[in-house]
Amino acid sequence: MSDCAHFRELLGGYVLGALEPDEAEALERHLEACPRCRREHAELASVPPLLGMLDTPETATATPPPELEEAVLDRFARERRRPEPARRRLRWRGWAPRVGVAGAVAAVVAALVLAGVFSPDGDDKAFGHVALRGGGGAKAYADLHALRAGTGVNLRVRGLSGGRGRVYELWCVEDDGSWISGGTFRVDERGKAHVSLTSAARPGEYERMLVTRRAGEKHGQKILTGTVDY
Amino acid sequence: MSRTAYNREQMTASDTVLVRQLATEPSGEGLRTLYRRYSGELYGFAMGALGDSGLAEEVVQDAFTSVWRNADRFDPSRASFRTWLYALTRNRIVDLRRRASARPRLADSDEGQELAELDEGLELAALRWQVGAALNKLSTEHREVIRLAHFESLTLREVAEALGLPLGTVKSRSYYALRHLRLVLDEMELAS
Repeated sequence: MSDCAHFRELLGGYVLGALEPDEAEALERHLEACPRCRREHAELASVPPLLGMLDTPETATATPPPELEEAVLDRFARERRRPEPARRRLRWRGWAPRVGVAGAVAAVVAALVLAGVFSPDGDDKAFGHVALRGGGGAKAYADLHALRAGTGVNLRVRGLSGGRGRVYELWCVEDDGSWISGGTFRVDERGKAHVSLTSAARPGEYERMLVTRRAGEKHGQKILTGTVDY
Repeated sequence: MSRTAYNREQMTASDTVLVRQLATEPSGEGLRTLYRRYSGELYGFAMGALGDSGLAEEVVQDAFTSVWRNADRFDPSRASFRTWLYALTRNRIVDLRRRASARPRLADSDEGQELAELDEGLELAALRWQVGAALNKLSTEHREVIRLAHFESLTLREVAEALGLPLGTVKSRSYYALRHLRLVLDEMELAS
């Protein structure tokens, strides 16, 4: 190992004040003679003062409740004021004949939504239902309500594994295969949950729904699947 | 680009790209991605500042609402998204604290001075919280060396004994831990 490589490895301990005195002295002598290591030392030396602001290294571990994510997205869906693009309306006309009666019903629902017949807070009557099934007897049932900016989902789940930190996510799968999240939830110790969620997926634009185990920003493992009965 | 490809891009898109998309992207997935990146540390920051989980939730929700309402005002050349988000959160915390302390004041109390001190305290708390978040981005091995050497004031020799590792490994690990932390702090625009 060259002198620089040897001394560079000591820089971490040096700026943390964790070297033995003789090692620290040897490093200081090297730094006087080596501009490259001096530069590196200057970079690392800015770190400990920032660490000094912390009482413990365990400060950033708070976790917001999963329903907060839904509250944020729900507010987004309700408050946004976006004129409906022509592309979306054209899509209804091309799509309805291809999927037959279900598509036609969905198109009617969507037309009512676009026309503002449904209130922004949703409608008491469900436009669709879906039964979701998975392994080990896990299942769920959801009533789907039209919202101006998407779908409100009244979801009842049973038979899922509980456990601390285990979070599930509901998805609407659009006809082109893209996944639109319907929000996250946890189950109780009996594996049950009854939650109200909101998805930006619009009525009639999706036929399949899924529940996955949430995995950061990725989709996660599929746990339950079902087809929407419009 | 297909919608599936679009969703995949969404997961790895930069903060700035996601903020730009908020005005035109109807699904809210960009906001969800941003929420998942930052809500944990923001919530922790708000909890630390307010000491109340209900108020902390309110603050986080309001901050993200401000993000999409004011997306067109975000200027990445002036500050990173994280800095902007913390500023929005801090402002909301100031509002809540002001509301909580809306009580009769002594004749000689200086509200401006109080608010300045409050703001300064929150600035420091936000910085502290971001440094904690940076530390949390390190691997367990790197964080452990920093914890023992910095927070427990052990020498590297003592760290090696505590972890049952060769001293050379601990020296090397402490160097790479500091380098990585410096990089994370750079990305967060915290290191000078």
